[in-house]
Amino acid sequence: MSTPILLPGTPISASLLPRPNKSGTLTLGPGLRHTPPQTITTTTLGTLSTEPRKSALWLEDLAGRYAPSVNDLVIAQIHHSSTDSYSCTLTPHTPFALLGQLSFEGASKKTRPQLKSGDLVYARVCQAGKGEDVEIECLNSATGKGEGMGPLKGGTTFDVSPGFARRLMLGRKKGGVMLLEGVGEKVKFEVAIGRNGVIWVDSGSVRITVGIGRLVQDCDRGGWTLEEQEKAVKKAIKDMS
Amino acid sequence: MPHITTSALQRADGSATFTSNLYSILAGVNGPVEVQRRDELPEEAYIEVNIRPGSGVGTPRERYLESIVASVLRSVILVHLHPRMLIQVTLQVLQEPSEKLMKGKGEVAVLPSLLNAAFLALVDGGIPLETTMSAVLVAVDAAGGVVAEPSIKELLICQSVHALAYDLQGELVMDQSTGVFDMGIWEGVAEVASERCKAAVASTEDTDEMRDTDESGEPWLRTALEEKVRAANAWREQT
Amino acid sequence: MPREAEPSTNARAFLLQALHEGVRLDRRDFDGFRPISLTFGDEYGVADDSLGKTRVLAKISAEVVKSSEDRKFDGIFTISTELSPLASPAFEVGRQDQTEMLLSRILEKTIRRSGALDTESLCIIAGQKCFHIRADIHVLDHDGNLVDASCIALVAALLHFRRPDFEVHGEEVHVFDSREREPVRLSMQHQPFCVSFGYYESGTIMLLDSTLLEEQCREGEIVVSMNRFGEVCQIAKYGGAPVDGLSVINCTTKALEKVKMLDALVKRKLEEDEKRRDAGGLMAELSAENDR
Repeated sequence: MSTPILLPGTPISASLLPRPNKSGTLTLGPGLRHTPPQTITTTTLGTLSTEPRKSALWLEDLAGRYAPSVNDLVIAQIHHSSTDSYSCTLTPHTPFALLGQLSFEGASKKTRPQLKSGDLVYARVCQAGKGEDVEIECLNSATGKGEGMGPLKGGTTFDVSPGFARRLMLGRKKGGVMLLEGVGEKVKFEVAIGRNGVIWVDSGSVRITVGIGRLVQDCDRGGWTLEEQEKAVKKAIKDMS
Repeated sequence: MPHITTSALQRADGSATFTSNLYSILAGVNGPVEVQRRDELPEEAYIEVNIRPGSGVGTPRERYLESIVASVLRSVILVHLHPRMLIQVTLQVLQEPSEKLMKGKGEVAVLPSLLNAAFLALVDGGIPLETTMSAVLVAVDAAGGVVAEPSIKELLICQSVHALAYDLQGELVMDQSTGVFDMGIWEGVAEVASERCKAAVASTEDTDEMRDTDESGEPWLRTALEEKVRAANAWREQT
Repeated sequence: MPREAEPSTNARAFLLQALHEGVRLDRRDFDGFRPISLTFGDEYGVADDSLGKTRVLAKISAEVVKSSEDRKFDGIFTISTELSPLASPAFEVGRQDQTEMLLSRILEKTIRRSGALDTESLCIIAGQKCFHIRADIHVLDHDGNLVDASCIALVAALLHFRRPDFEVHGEEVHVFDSREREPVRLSMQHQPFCVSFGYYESGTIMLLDSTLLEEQCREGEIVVSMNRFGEVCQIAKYGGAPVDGLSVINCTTKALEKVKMLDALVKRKLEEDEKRRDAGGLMAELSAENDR
């Protein structure tokens, strides 16, 4: 079923809306806004997607800069530190996101990571709202566990579009990207994907890391199909060895 | 049909080129980004417009055009979604007619291209928008005939020239007119302009053969935007 | 806010380690240029070039002005480089930053002071009227090496440009419109190009055509400007870590190789454009009017 491509400012016709949930509400995702009482309009260009079971609707594949949203996993760069927190950048030229100095697994005043300007961390967005400061943390505050978050040492980062980062996180089936899995079959490496369009790779070998970075960036730019990706992965593995 | 490219630049968050029969404009958008203290607005985003002419440095003419474009964009961008941030729009004139247009005609003639390029770049940059906007240039000749998208020859001899922009609902978003005309003429101009802008966003699935695209114009804006989404979604086709 | 974002410690360390192992992030040779594209506008004197993701537009314009008091037999040639937020959000309109100043200074020395453009040929009536040739450089996208890219665009645009022809009768000057008489090429004495070298590890590693990230990690930079005959117009090394004097000589040798390549490329593109115009010219005459 082909969903219509909607221009910004298009009111969503009632026939396209999913059925409201038990409390009679609909959940609006990115790209949509509600003008009381009944109008839902698009705020940007995209295709409409609905999840009837959750009474949710949103616009797919939005363009543009990354907008922080709670629970997103991101790769942040420390800019400077103050008494209680680190000021970090998630995207260039935007206000700093704050990372508590103790927001790490098992951290206490005596045993916390000492991060310097330029260091990288894998973190989760815990606060982001209109007019509020963005806050991130390197642990699951409910369980106190790091869950893979924390300082990232070594390796390097590659920039991709936020949309592509999301596809990488969704995996092969939903995101249509098999690059990392493909390479991972033959080559050892570590990777962290930030929803803010930053990918961190570390493999202990310059050639391998560069090869992976290039694959990811070229696929983002070239819009490769799975077939094209498989070809590229085969070639890249040859170059790396 | 005007020629359009999107994502023309790498560094800018959003970019596009818009080339009409008269002008070619490259637009770049950055934002929302951090705003300078002096420009900070508590409840909304600050819209900064920079117009760079092909030759020479900016003059009061560019400042004048910047203020018009900024005020139109302020009504099109959902500024309240990004308080205390900056949305920066830079418009570079790549090509313009070599003939000089006098008596304010030049300022009016370039506006539709500036606005269309800016709008496309805003969409490319994912900036939240209130509506979809398209702008058109209309001239009135000595005989009172209304000409949409006039050529440079027609502009040099026309009685009046008008730049109008309409939104998705057909509401007038901007009107800049110069020359000799009366309300009757202007209403004729507005009718032609609104038809053109309506056609620019008309559904591309409309197979109504009665619609004469030569008269009302091509759905250039919808076509360009739909192309963009299709290209970005090409990977979905095979999952 | 106006300041280019700094690379992370990881990215910087990785780039330097890679260079140490002989690998460049985009896997180019150390002396390799990124893919170069060069196109011309419909009107004369507009050149748009890109080196990889860096993109620069140069536009030449001419107007008749009063000759300068102290250079009666010369015309006037000015170069304007204003960086805008298009190139990078780090550039603020109206504020001249370090990058812009360096770019402007190097282009001045390379093109203007070396006499690449014959300003005497711009004189119309000595002491009274002359042409003011104005070059506007617009950096559209910044991914490093603005200097080399700007120079290519500028030289190409100058070679492409046609100024109005004129006739002098005693005290009277008649400047012909392009429709009355074919406009005329500018008189170029020579075509200089800039080749920038970024260096690392005390000058033992030299990279050509650096990306923005490579620029941010380097120890210093040497810019050599020369023409295809090997004549050096200028050499610039503004601060940066000290390098061995011999390295600078090596740079000029390497630069000559690249300048010849750039020179040939520009000439080839100009030829292609000339052919396209000739073909287009005839067709335009024959076709019906008002084609959109």
